[in-house]
Amino acid sequence: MYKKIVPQIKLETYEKEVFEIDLDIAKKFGKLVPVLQELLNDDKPLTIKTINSGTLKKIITWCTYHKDDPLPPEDDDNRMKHSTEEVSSWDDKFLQEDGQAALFDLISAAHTLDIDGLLDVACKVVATMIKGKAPEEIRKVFNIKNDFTQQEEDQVRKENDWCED
Amino acid sequence: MDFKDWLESTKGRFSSLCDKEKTETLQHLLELCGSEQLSFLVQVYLPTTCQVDFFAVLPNELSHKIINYLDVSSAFNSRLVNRTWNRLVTDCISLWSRLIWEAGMRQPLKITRNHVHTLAKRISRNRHMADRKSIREEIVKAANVNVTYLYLNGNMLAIGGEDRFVYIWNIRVNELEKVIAAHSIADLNFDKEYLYTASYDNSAAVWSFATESMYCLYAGHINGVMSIDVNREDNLVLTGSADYTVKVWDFHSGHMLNSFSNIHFGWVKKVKFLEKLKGDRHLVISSDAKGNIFIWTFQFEHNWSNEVDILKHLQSFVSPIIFNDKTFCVVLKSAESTKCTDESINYFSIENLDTRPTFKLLKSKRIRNIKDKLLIDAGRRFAVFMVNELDAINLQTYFYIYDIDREDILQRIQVPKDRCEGVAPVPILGDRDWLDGFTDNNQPNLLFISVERQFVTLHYLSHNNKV
Repeated sequence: MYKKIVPQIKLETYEKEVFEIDLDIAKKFGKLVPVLQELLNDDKPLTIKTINSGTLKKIITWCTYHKDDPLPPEDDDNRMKHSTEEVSSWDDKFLQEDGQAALFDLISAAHTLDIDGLLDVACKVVATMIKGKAPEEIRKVFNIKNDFTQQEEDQVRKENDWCED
Repeated sequence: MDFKDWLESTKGRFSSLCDKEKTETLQHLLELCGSEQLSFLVQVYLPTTCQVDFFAVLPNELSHKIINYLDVSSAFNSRLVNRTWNRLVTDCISLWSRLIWEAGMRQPLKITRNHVHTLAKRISRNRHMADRKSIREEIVKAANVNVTYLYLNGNMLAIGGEDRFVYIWNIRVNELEKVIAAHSIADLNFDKEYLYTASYDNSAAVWSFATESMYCLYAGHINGVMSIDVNREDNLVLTGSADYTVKVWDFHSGHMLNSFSNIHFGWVKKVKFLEKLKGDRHLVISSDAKGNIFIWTFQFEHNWSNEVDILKHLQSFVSPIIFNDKTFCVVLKSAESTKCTDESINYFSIENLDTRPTFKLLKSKRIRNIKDKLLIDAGRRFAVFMVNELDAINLQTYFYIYDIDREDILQRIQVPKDRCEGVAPVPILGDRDWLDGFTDNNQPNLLFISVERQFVTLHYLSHNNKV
């Protein structure tokens, strides 16, 4: 049977695991775009020390799922609307299912590899984790210590005065 | 071998394992654990290591990317989390810039930390606007008869009564300043010296405050006069009537100078001088009950010539709103041809005044999400609509503040009292400066004025919101 040969590139993760990634997916990694041709010709994998295998697997899954998404709008007006769009339930579940540490790794990796769509949606997910919560609840969710002095806290409260009505 | 050495070598060996072996080792170790270790794992270790304080570990650039997606209340709450969060959120210029825009404030040239505070105040005001409790009512018993017309100029509120008297109230001190025996009022406005009235009795008139009596009567229409405008510089009075005509009168003598019967074919509901042009020509806007708006010029002549030059014809269903600086806005019906189902609010400026005036469309914005609306007033940034909505049993009236630039509703205010339907004139806005966009120092107090039969209610935005 005729098998379509899909061009692939190779990436090596922190754990020295080598991944073969379809060119279509790799094109979404902004950082790799300038060197794609080189990578295609080269059999040696590109090592990215800052990304672990679990994270890269997630990135590949995400990019595969969103392979056919339309490009984000160019003009400012629409981008403003675009930025307020809700996160799809698939994305929400996918990004949160492995906990905060994995989400953090994913944001760092998306930033390193320059994957705009993933970075946007992951940041939105973090923002939704913050939204609608009181300061104390936020501290609890992210395990943060309150290092304000009473005076400093009062000052911020005063500036926020509408919260206290 | 002491414990420390053993631990180091075990750690070294463990880290050299592959993932599968690591997991297996851990599983065996866990099975050996007692309740103390397990409770440490579940209650102390896991919660802290699985949680990430994103803003502490991410570069500022990425933290700001997250912060940019916050809404206003979560932005304020985030500032209270700790010092790092406060610094990051407060310094996130793009967030405040967006929130300022969403709150309908004018964009300052440069956003500083002070804006955070100003923004808090502004948003607080918006919230209070929507809150029924924060609207304080003051009722003025206007007259012993039903009120038919309202007009506000500064602190002075003119009330046209069904008893054909016009009552001028100083609303700041809540005192009745003048009562003028006039006629039934269809339209009125006033300045320091005179009161101008258009009446259902087929006439229009000017009344002197000094003598509290009629200064001049403009009689000649053969049906109710719906609208009046005065040009004091050239001593001209412009009237529009249900007899389909627009007439021009001499201010002092009351002589009719021109009558235009070939423009409108419906009740003329609003007339207004826009601008004086070269060669003694006047630029006028007029609208009729059939939704036609005409912008036209006429030359002031004594020989009864009623030639007009119609410059623009627009289809609208509400009267145009005219601003001071040669701009006006109209609500246009949705065009069938474009298959657009929304109405749009359109701003025009008038150019080439010296030659043949032309109209430039400044902006056109859709009006969405509001049904069966009545446009009360509009500025460059906001419009106010009145909408009657039927809830379970009652017909309730709401004011919608519509953000024109964003093409969306900014605020819905419940009109406190059930107003009687049909007979009452539409409410008018108190302070209307904010319609052009909230400024930092602008604190409107008198929101709007409504009427219920004989009672005029002033609805203030309460500053003391701790109700």
